[in-house]
Amino acid sequence: MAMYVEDRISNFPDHIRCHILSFLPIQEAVRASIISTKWRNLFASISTVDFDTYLLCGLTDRNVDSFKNFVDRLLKFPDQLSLDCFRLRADEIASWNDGDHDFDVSGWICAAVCRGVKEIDLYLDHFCHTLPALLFTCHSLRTLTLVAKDSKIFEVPSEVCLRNLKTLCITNSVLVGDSLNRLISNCHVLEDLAFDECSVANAREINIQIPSLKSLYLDFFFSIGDSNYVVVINAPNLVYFRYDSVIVKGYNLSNMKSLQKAEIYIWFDSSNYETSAIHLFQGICNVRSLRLTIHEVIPLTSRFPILHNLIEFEFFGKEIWLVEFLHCAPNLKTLTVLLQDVAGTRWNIDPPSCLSFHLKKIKILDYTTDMIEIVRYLLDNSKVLEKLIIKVMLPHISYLTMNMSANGKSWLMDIDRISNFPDHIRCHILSFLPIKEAVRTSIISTKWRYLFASISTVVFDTYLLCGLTDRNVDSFKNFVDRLLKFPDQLSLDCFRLSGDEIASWNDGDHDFDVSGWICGAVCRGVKEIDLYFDNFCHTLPALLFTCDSLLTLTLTAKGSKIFEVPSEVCLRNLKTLCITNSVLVGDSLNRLISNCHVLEDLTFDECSVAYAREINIQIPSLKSLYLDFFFPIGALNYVVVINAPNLVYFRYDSIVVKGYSLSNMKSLEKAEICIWFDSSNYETSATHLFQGICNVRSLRLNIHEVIPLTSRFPILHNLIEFEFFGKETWLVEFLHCAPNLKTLTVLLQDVAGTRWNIEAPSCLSFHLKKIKISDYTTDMIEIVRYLLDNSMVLEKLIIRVNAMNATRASKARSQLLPLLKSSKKGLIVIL
Amino acid sequence: MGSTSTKIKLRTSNQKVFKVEEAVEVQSLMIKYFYENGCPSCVILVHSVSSNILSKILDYCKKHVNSAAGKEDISLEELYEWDANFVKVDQNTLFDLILVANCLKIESLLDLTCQTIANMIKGKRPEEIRTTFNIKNNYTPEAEEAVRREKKWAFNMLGV
Repeated sequence: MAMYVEDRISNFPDHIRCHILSFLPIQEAVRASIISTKWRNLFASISTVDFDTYLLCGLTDRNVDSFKNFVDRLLKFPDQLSLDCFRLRADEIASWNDGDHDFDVSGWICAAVCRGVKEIDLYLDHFCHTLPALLFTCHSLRTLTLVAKDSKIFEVPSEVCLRNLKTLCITNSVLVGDSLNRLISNCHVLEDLAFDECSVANAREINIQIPSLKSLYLDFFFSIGDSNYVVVINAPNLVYFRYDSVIVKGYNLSNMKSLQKAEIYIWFDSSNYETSAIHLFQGICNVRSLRLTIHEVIPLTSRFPILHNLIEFEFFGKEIWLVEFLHCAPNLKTLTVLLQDVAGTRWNIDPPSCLSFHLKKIKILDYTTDMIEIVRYLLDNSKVLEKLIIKVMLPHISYLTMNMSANGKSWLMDIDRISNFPDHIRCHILSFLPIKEAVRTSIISTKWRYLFASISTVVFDTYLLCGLTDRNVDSFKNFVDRLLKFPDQLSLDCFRLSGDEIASWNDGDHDFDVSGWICGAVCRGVKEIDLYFDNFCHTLPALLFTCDSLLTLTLTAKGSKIFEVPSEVCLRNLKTLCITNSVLVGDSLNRLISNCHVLEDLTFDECSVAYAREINIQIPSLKSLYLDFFFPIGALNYVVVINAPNLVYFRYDSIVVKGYSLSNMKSLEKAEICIWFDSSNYETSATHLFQGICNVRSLRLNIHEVIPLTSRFPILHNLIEFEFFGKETWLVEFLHCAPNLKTLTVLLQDVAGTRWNIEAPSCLSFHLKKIKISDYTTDMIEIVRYLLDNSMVLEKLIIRVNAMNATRASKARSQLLPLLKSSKKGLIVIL
Repeated sequence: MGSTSTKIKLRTSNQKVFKVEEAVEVQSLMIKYFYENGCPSCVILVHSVSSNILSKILDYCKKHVNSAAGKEDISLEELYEWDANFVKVDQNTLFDLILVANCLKIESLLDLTCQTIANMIKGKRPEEIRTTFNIKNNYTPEAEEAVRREKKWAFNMLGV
């Protein structure tokens, strides 16, 4: 099915499409003429013509004529729009102009001039015989850039009138006689003039008198012939002046009133024009920022100007000259130096006034040890210095910054790197220190004063709190208040308080506001709280239980007291919760975890449950659950409900209670169960507990009574590892419920010495490879015999003899040996 | 992100360029971040660090990655001992290690080096800390006394 899609681009106005084409290499722009008739002659109107080496190199004998025709049409028909830019970058054009090709570059330029070109940018081997006279009288030209590859003579015709030129840049050319002067003679609106890597030859005078000039860049780096010419510059509006040259016979610079920045790079030849350099400086005496590179010495006679406006000075040269020069820059504020020929002279001349009143910043590049005296001189005499930066010439030390105090006469060459580290690194270092030592660092220097306030881990331990005396306890309380209660600080990672005797200090005299501290930590967005207290009665603020920032909460009580959970609890970002040694009354346990929707690790260690009807743990994110209700309190007629489909680890230490409803433990890897019965006789409900964990792969079971292995007792199909502490009789029967068991570890109690001859469980026949028996005593011979006789695939049997005394142990060994010898099976170890 | 696909390079202040090896990739959160944000090819400037430091960092990363991957049979205690020897260097090297670990966000190395500096601070009087790290005391005597008074509880032991 055909679909009509509008061709919008072809209907764009020509000038827009021309603008689009002007961003393409010219051959691609030309290729666009084939798109449709609407595009056919469009390229002829493009206003930027750019021929580069790549394009010209691509021409072959077969298509060169077609290209020449094209260029002729493009440039030489004067009925087209005016040309913005003609750019030709062909540094090997001479090699093609070998008669075969014969590019008429000169003709192209003439054509561009005829089309009223505004910018010409040529990069050629050289300009001999190439530039048409027409170019030098082009009134449309605003920008002319001529870059030669080889430094050849630049031939300027006798008549030049570039009266609208604003930017002129000549690179890599030799200007003979007065050709430079002629070139710029009629440039009355020129603003930007650059002669880069050029040379002046056989000149008597360089005469630049252009009122409109703002930037002048004279790089006569390659000197040719004599330097006995004079430089005359009259440019009252000059802002930027750069001059790279050998010092010539004379300078006549006037009127540089607006000069902001000068970059001067001068040297001397054998002509000894040192004094004429003074005239150069007289010309630029108004400059505000000066960069001077000079390897020789200009005599600082009385005729050397005072640079009153000079504020910034960058100097590359000799130490001796610098020190004297500073007297000529009375208002200098910033000094940057890179010194050469350091003599190590001890300076004791009169300090220049800029050091006493203005110089605020000194930067010394590539410092070497022999510069010590000049640095000492600068430091000793700089009265208002604020910053000294010394860049040391060592690969692994970067900038060294020193802030000078008002009377700072002394200084350090040994480098204090640590104080300049970012705060967060220094805080990280402090977080490894006891808080007391971290606080003590505030005395080191002012840079360390408030650092401790940003430390992200606050730990108060018994040792710290015991060290407090009546005299300093107030200072400590103030400190804690400031640390925790001012909420404008960074968020707190961890607040840890282990003060198991805090009650004894809270004797009215001390009166620590622990509750307030916790509130402070919560307000600072604490992520982890770890408290170890006598007990938590009346200490934990309600705010703690609704803290959104909290990820880990660990509460350890010393005495087992009632843990009071407020009615409203919402710890919705909590990942780890660990309560130790507490009594949980009623539904307080359920309430505590009720809104913990991302909890992964839940522990109740050495806790008790009292007056509960149900323990309800329904947390899909839970991975590890540790329930140790070792100390039973009150009636056990409650039900444990666990719904944790992602649980990997489950530990349960408790009296068996009224009921269990464990569902969905599909990922369970390891379970550790330690159960016992009281008089309530809830034996059958234990069966429900096992039903819940029936997917477990590794089980550690500690049980001294017997759970009836009725038909409702689950078969643990996934069980591979089993550790058992309990009665021999129950074990033998239980093995029928673990058909895939591979490893069995037992510690038996109440061994009756029964001779077992019941049917062997299937795990013994097919899977059980390793058996370990701990605390073997002689009365266990029958169970060992039973296991040995029936284990068909056993690879390893480890029997650890109960070594209560040596005679018994050897008796046990002698009893076992014949039995083991008679069996033909694998590896046996007796320890 | 195997070592073959590595395009991130590190350049030190003495202009040496290091290819990032897989070991550093694994340890450096910064480089992980560059990968995860679709910037697999770039040069990270590690200022003020010599190539010696960077090769030391590389040693550290290799050792830890190899031991974590089980390529090297080394116990945890042996690794701690290796770490302890690793930071037995002069102060400047230690500082450089901190800066690079911070810059590349190699957290275990940052912890190790910062812990080492903390151990150098621990139990020292402020005067000793200043000498250890060449820190200039720029408190006026009055200001220093005020700070000491303010934090009296922290200065009441060790005779400081």
